[in-house]
Formats: sequence, C-alpha cells, structure tokens
Amino acid sequence: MKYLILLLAFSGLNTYAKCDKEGPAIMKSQNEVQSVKTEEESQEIVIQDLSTGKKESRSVKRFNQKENNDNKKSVLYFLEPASIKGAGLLSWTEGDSENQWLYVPELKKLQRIASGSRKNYFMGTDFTYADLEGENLKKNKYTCSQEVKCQGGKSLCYVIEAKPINEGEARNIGYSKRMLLVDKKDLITLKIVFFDLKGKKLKTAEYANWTQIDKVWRPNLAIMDRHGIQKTFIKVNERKLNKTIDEIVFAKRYLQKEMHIK
Amino acid sequence: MKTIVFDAKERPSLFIKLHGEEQTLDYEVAEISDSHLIVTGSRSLPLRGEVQLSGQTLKFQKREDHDNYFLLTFKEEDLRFIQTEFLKRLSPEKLSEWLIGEMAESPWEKSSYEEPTINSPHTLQEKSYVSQAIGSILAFLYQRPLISIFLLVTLSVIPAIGIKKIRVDPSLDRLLIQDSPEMKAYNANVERFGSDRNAILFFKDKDIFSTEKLKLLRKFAWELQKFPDGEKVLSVFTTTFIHYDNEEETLYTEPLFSDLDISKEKKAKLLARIQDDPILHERLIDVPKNIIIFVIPIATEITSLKVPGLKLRKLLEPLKSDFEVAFQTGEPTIEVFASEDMKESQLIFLPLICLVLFICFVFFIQSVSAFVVTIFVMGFSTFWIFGIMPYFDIPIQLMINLVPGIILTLSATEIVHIFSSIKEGRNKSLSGEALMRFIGDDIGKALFLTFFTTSLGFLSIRLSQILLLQEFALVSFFGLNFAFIVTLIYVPLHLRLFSKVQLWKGSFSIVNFKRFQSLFTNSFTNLFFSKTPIVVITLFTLFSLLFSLRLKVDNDAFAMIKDFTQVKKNLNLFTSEVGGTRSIHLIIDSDATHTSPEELQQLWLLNNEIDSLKEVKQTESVAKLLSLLNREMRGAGQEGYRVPSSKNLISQYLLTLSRDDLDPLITPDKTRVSLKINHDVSSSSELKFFIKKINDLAKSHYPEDKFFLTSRNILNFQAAQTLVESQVGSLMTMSIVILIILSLFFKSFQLGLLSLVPNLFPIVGLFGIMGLLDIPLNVGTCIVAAITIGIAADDTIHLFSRYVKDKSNFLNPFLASQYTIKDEVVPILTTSLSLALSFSSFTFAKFVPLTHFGLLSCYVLILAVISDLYIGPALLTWYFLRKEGNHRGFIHQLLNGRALSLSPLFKDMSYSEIVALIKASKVHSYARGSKPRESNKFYDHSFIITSSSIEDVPGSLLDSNSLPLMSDSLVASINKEDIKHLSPRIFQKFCNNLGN
Repeated sequence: MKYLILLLAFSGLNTYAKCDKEGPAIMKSQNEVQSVKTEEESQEIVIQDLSTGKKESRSVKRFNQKENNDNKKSVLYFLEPASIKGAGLLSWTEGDSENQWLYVPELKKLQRIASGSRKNYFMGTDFTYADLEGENLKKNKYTCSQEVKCQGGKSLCYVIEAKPINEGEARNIGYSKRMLLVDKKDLITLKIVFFDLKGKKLKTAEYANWTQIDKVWRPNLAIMDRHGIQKTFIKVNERKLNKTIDEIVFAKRYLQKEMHIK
Repeated sequence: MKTIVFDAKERPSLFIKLHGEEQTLDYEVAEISDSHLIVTGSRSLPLRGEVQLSGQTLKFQKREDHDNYFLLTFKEEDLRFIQTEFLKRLSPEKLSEWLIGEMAESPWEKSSYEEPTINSPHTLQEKSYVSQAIGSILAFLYQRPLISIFLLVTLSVIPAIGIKKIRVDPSLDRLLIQDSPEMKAYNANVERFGSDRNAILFFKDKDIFSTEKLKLLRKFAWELQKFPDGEKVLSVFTTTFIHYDNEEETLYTEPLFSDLDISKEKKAKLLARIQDDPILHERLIDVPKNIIIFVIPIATEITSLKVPGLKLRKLLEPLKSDFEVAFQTGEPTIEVFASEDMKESQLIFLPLICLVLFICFVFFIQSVSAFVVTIFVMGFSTFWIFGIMPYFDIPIQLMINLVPGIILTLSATEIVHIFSSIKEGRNKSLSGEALMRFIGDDIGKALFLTFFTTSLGFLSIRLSQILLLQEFALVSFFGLNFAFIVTLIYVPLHLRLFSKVQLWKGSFSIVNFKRFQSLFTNSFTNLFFSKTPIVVITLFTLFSLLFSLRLKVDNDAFAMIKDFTQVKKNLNLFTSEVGGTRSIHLIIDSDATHTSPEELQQLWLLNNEIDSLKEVKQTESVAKLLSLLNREMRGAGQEGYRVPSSKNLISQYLLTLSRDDLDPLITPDKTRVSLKINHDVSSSSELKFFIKKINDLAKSHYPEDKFFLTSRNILNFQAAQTLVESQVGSLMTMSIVILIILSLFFKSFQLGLLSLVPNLFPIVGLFGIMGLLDIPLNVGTCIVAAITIGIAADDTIHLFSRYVKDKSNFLNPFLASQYTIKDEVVPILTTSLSLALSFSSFTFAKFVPLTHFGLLSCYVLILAVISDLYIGPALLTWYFLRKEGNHRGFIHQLLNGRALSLSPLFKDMSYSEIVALIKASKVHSYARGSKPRESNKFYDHSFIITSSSIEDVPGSLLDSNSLPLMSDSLVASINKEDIKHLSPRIFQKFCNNLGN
C-alpha cells in the first residue's frame, strides 16, 4: 500500500512534467520561505516496534534558535515518562563545529558528548541527528527530476533527488541519496525516501497535518517508517514560531540546574 | 538311456591322448550317461583332449574335475558310440541287471533321501526367474543393437533437459537438520538478533597504526559499507567506541578511528583506551599484536556464502601487498574452499580411480573392454542422475561429488564378474545369444542382488536427519540403479559391436593363478579347525567392540578441512592470534523486562561467570554494554564497570543508544536478550561439555524454560548427535534387509542369519579402529559402514551361492568350502583390491571426511576379505558339519562324499546316514605309514577310509603285524550290535550292503 502511495505520490496518475526550476533554486526558496528565527514545540513522540506492535510514548519539549544558517542552538528535554524526565540534549552549532551536552538527571550530570556521527539515531527514534537538522544546502546536491500531482491530486509537487556532495558526507549522514517530494506552491516537503549507502531503501518520512503560522508552514505530524523494523510518530501539540526565547534556555546551567523541569 | 555305473573293481579302461603328447594314458571309466562320461585316473586332464576307443579318436571337453575324477562331455554321436562300445563289454549278467533290474543309483544323480543330496554337476544351479529374465534381456538386446541405442538415447532425453539446470551448492547449511524445532528457533533468533554467519577480514602489520595504513583500512571499511551481501560492517572505523576523555571532559560515542587527522599523542591515547574496552578489544582490534579485524555478518537472505566469499576475496586482493598479513576467514571461506575443492577433486580423483581400475582390469582379467564398459556405464549413469537431480531440487554438494567415483568403482566390481562369466562362456564355445543367456544364468541373479543390496546400503543412509546425507543417499541409490540398467543395455551392445575383440592371453590370466589358488585354499582351510585364528578373531572382535565405545561424533565444518590447506592455516592463525571463530547465543526470556535493575544484574552476573570459562574468548550482552556506558559516563574506572542500579538510569542510558546498537542484544520490547559467546571449541565432544557448562551456569540464574542455546554452532552439534542414531538405524535396516534377501535367496532363514556374521564383522572392526584412532563419525565416515555392508553382502552372495552349489556337489562341507574358496579367492581379491586401491585415492583429499572415507574403506575391505574368505566359509563348514552330525573335526577331512557314494558299502545311503553310521563305529585316525591297532581285530568289520577309497577289511587282518597304511586314513571298526540303535532304515541298508 505504501509503495502504491509512493508511486501515486511521486509519479501521479497520468501526468508528469519537467521541473520549471532547478533543484538548488527550489530548495533555496524553501529555506528562505520556511525559515524562522525561533521555534518552541511541545511534542509527543511515539515509537512503535513493528514486530510486536508495542509502543513507547515520550513527551518532549524543544527549543530552536537560529541566528543564521551557520549558527544555531537547540535544546530538547523529556517530560514523560518519569524514568527519563529531565533527560535532555543541548546543541550549539557554529559553522562546522558542533558542541553537544547530554543531561542525565539520575547522575545529575551534564555530560559533554562528541558530536559523533550525524547518522546516529536520535534518542532511540528513527530520526537521525542529520534528519533533524533540516536541509543543509551546502552539503547536498539537489536535482529536480519532474513535477507530479500530489496531495490527492490537488497540487503539484517537485520530485527532487538530494545527494550528498561527496562520499565523505554520504558516510557522515549514512545515506547515498534521498528522494524528496516538495509541494510546488507552498514549498513544503511532504515526503522523503532515504536510501542507505548500498542504494537500498532504508526508511520513509512523511509529514502531515500542516499548519501555517505567520506564512510559515509546519507539519504537526511526522512519521518515520523504518520498513519492517520500527515507526516513529512525532506529533506537535503546541508550537510557537519567531517568539523570543530566553537565552538561559540555551545555557548549560539550564539543564544542569534542572531549571527545565522545575 | 540309463546311466551305466561301473563298480570300482570292474571299471573298464579308456585311453586318453593329451594334446602335444605321443603317448596315451590309461583312465578308468566310472560312469557313462546320456550327457557325460566320468573317468578316474591319477593324472589330471586338461580342458580338451582325445579319447582313443575302438580305433576311433573322439574329442572331449572337461567340465569338472574333483579328486582325480573327471567329467567329460562329447558330441552327442560320439558319446552314443562310447556308450554302445562299453555296453558291449558288460557281462551278460551285468547287462541284464542294467536292462531289467534296479541299477545302482548314480552317485551323481539325486538321492531319494534327505539332504544333502547329490546332483549332477551341470544341472546343479537352479535357474531362477531373475537369472532367466536377465539372460533374456541380454539376449534380446544382443540381437537388436539398435534398440539398445534407442533405449540409451531415449532414457537420456529427460536428464539432458534437466542437466542444464544443475546447480552446485557447497553451502554448509546442508550439514544441518533443516526442519527441526532447533532450526526454527535459530531462524527466529537470526530474524530478531541478526545473522551469525560472519566473514572475517584479518590484518596484521607492525605499522598497522600508522596514519597511512589506517587510511587504507578506513577506505576499505567505507567500501565494505557498500558491500551488498553484508548486514553491516563491524570495525574500529564503523563501530561505536564508547569512552570518556578525561582531558576533554567529553564522552565519545563514535568509532575509534572516525577521524585520522589527529596527533600522535591523541592516537596513542586512543590506542591505550581501547584496550580497556571489553567489547571491542581482542575482537575488532588487538593493539599489542598490531591486529585490526573486520567482521561482516552476511545478510540472512543470502543462502550460499560462496558468492560473498568470492566478492570479499576480490575486494581484499589489492590490499594484501600493503600488509604483512591480510586474509579472509570465517564461514564464507569454507564454502569457497568447498566449492573449489569439489571441482578440483573431480579432476584428480576420477582420473586416479580410472587408472587404478584400468591396471586392475588389465592385470587380473586382461580386458580393456571391461574397462571401456565400466567407463561407459559410469558416464551414462552419472549423466542420468545429475540430469534428474534438478527436478528434485537437489544440487551437487560436498558428498554428491563422490557419486561418480562410487558408481565407477562399484560398477567395476560387477563388470569384472560379467567379463569373467563371458570368459567362461567362451571357454564353453558359447557365443551370441547363447552367451548372453549363459551370463544371465551364471551371474544374473547375483548381479541383480549385488546392485540391489549395494544401492540399498546407500539408501539406508537416508535415515540420517542431515540434509547432505539424505540427498547423497538418494542420489547414490538411483545412480547405482541407473548403472545396473545401463550395464544391462550396454554390455550386449558392446559385445555385439566389438565381438571380435579377444581377451588377451597373457601370462597373468586368472587361470595362471591356479598355483596361488591351491596354495591359498590349502593353507587357509586348514585353519578352520585350528584354535589360533578363532582366538585371534574373537580377541579382535572384543577389542573392536571395546574401542568402538570410544567412538565420537563430529560435524564441525572447520574441522573438516586439512591443516595444510591455506584456508585452514588462515583459520588456525586467526584462532591463535584472536580467537572466537565460533559463537553460541544464550537466549533468555523475561516475564517482564530485562531492563529492570534486578534482571540486568542477573544477566551481568551470568555474563561474568561465562567470561571466566577458559573456552570463552569474548562475550557480548546488553548488560555488558550498559556497564561499559555506566563506567564511561561516571568516569569512575573499573569501579563503575557494573550495571546501573536504578531503573531511571537504565532508561536514560538507553536513550543514548540506538536500535543498531541494541538490536543484536535485546528485543525492542525488552523481554528477550541474547548473550553472545565467542569461542573456538571445534570438536563435537568438547563442545558437548562446553554446552553443558553454559547450561549449568544459566540454570543457576534462570529457570530452565526461560533460556535456550542457539547458533549455527549448536545446530552443527545437534546434527552431529544424530549421526550415531542414524548410523545405528542404517546398519540395523541393512542387516534386516540382507537377512531377508539372503534367507530368500538360500531359502533358509538359518543361512540368512549366518550370512550376517561375515557382513557385520568388518563393521565391528571399522568402529573399533575409529574408536582406537580417534577418527570421529562424520558425514564422510558414516557412509563407510553402509557402503561396506553393501559390498560385503555382494561377496557373501557370490560366496554363499557358490558354496551351496559345491556343497550339493561334494556333500562334504569341508571340501565344499575348499572348492568355494578356490573358486572365489581370485574374484574376491580382485574386486576388493581394486575397490581398496580406488577408494584409497581419496586419502589425498583436502576434505578430512573424504580422507577418512578413503582410508577406512581400504581397511574394511581388507576385513571383508578375511570375513568372506575365512569367517563365512568356516561358519558354513561348521554349520553343515553340525547339521549333519559330523561333529568330530577329523572325520570331514577324509570323508569324500563322492568316494563314499561310489562305495557299495554305502549304496543307497545319504551322506548324513553314512556319517551317522561311521559315528556309531569306533573311529581311529592314522597317519600315513602307521599301523592299525590291535583292538580293531575284535570288530566284525573295519573300514579303512582314505580320501579316495573305502575298503572293508576283516578285523582279523588288522593288527600290529599288518602292513603300514599307505596314506592318512580313518579306520572305522564296527559291530552289527553297535549300529542296531540307529534307525532301522540305516541298519537295514547297511546290512544289505554288507550282504552284497
């Protein structure tokens, strides 16, 4: 069924057309249109094991701050379940350098962790650190192959192939390529299919329940399907965009002093 | 016309001229019938000669000769002439008797009394339906060679279509039991925790940690990540190395050498740190030994490991020159080796076996034709069976590779018999259709039975639960039956097309083995009543039985390869440097979750106990992983190397680990864990103890129904355990089948039972030597017993059927066995020797089970020869002697049934009646030159019995003053009173004979 949806989503019923723009231009436009300075979200993450059907639910708070494309700060921490309440991850990105800290409430310790491989899965979910970074225009080569009907035929979408610029980058993110389905009108990414380094399909992300806040679109539901293994649902319950966030939130002591859970 | 029998004292003379001699020799005529003439004389007659009678020269052929009695055949009109001439010479009284009265029944004719009966020699062999059918088929096809060709072509059509789809599968999976609950559990485990079929790439170099070499290896790791047949790549370039850097106050969770642009100091620090990692060090890296290892679990959907093995070999090749030591090892290399060896062995062993057979054929039966026929039979039957296999989805695998060689050697033994029969037939001036029918009559039944029993021997291997052996059993069974069919079709065609090709007449023909035959027979049969061989054989049997209790089993693929091969050298080097080539997975279930502190603690304790076992190289478990993370997160050194004690901490640690880290160790719902135990225990017997230790340790922590062991290692072990059961089953089945077949063949259950002894003796010897020399029961050795019993049964059939024929001929069981051995020694030795030499070629195989197969086959064939030429005939002799009441050993040596039958003293008496009579007498044996005892003179009658005559001597003439005896003799002294207790029939007959 998924493959049928993919086929329909990517190729349309009976029409496809050449892209009216180049891939990089499309993605650049998307970046410009959808970028915000700050984001604050309350999320519910559900991880479902596909073999047993068992689900694990987590409640998460997330703050992002973007000064420019190179400088970003983010903090994420868990509110539920109780066993992981207060565990959090703080990231500072400056250019190519990234610093991360993990807060382990049980040890009362803010542990600096090496940025590690961006291809590592984030906190047990099916999203890697690279997936959560968003599109890095400098590190990918984008090629638009065609325009297809999507969203139940209501709109047109670009089919864009995103390939890491070199083998090193491919190894860093763990993908040989990604196929993106980008809505032509709103420049939102509806679906991404990920291919591993051997060229085999690895997982599929779908973004739904789009809402527009201050002309910016955001999905309230993201589903990452690691075929046959696990699915991760990220549901956004509350979102604020471009609101001022206290700098303290992105300070180490915010987690260290457990200010995030007081 | 009735047979004329001449009294011993009134035998007329007949002059016989031998070829190449001027003189004629005087023989006495004992009997003349419508079909033959029996003469007696001191000098042996050749196969052909001339008789001078009444001015006529009549040509004869000698058909039989026993103890100076010769049965001659003539042309019909010549024999009639002889009969007429001798009838003229009878006195009127004798002539009247012959014409009117009861003539003495010819000792050559069937007696009306109980067995043993005397039959005319050339009508002795009962023609069975099978023999007739085979003879008819051969004759039919001989007359119609086009039909033979048509049959060969038609029967080849389906195989010709199928053979294009034949595939080769060297997969080690076939060593396992496919549908067992253990296999299902293993497959479920692999599905859950990942593949345990690993390809291992080993690098060693004194400068391996130089940046240059590391970059080469890192690039190699990146290439391997694209390798389509691997699930993942485990290496220091791709696997998480959890460690805390005190100076940087940073926890690292990236591969050891993810970044190579680091300072020497940092590199040295990292290399020092990794030696504290219990999961990675001595598994993916060994710093002091300058070793780096890549482990690639092969994806589960890849059934054969040969292709990934070859691909990895190709990828590795360019790097070999950059490192002191670089090689691939693990299961894929075994399959690559097996696949290459299978091809090589055909190129070596088949030609070697052909050479051996060619030499045997030329030396023993002087027939190149026989060799050609054998090759043809092998070629066609192999083609047919390999063409049929794809229809049943059976590939050419490690054991099926042997089948052409087996068909070749076993067909050769039967073709030897066929060509011997052809030779015999030609000696009787038979040719064409008559020759074909003769072959059928002579050996048709035996031929059918031998193919049947041998192929059944192979089929009995089907009882094994190991797929490799099941397939081998079926293929060899059908292959041998195809060989039988091809033999029947091709032999008449070959003889028709190449009928003018004569058998060589060299100096080494079977006929020239006569001296050997006599020497062998005399010395061998004299051992029958000697205690020494009985003691030796009994001791040998007892010791063999004792040593057989030490028999071990082994199904380990790694152990099946010889040490001198490169693949084994690499494996041994890896084992000595690093180890952990094999793995066992301990799967533990929890009712709740394994990530509770209590469960994790339990697992941690068990992990540590298992780590302390000397056989264990490395272990992996979620407890170990979390303990390592705990140590690094706390920065507490070894004190912190323990499982977290709080549920929250465990949950928080798990957040930092991805599914890729956890999936091989714990299920997503956390109810099942896998504790991986890497080791190098190879032999099944050592593995048995190792498994017990693990089980015992696990039992001390968990209820028995909450854990189990699995892995390919375990499956191999379980398959090995079934080898004994299936071996016993196979042998029992074969024994029952042989018992039934031979009982039916000889129409005697007792004889059938007796025939088992010479068949089972080599088996006992086989298991004894295996126990003594620590040769395990494996996929190679377990087929030896089945083959042996099949081949031994062949010789038993030939030998026993010959014996029954000779026994009815000679009556005397001992003499019968002498003649049997004399007739069978050369064919048995020929076939056994050629088989032994052929099988011995497998000694040079690189595959240990094949070597064992070759050597053990040689050994059991030698035992089978002893069994068939000594034990079988000895048993038969004793059996019949006892049956006929002839218990006393010395009587048999002198009681020549024929001589007895010819004596008027024992006229109309059966052999057992004669024996009963003699037993009732006082019997003394005397050596040549000795004098009879005084006491004999007090008896009514004394009979001096020698090997050729019986004389009735009045007792008064026997005393110490009488002349010395001219030859070894028995003197049986008897009074009428002594024999009254015998049956009235015996008493009456004897008295009548005495009166006459």
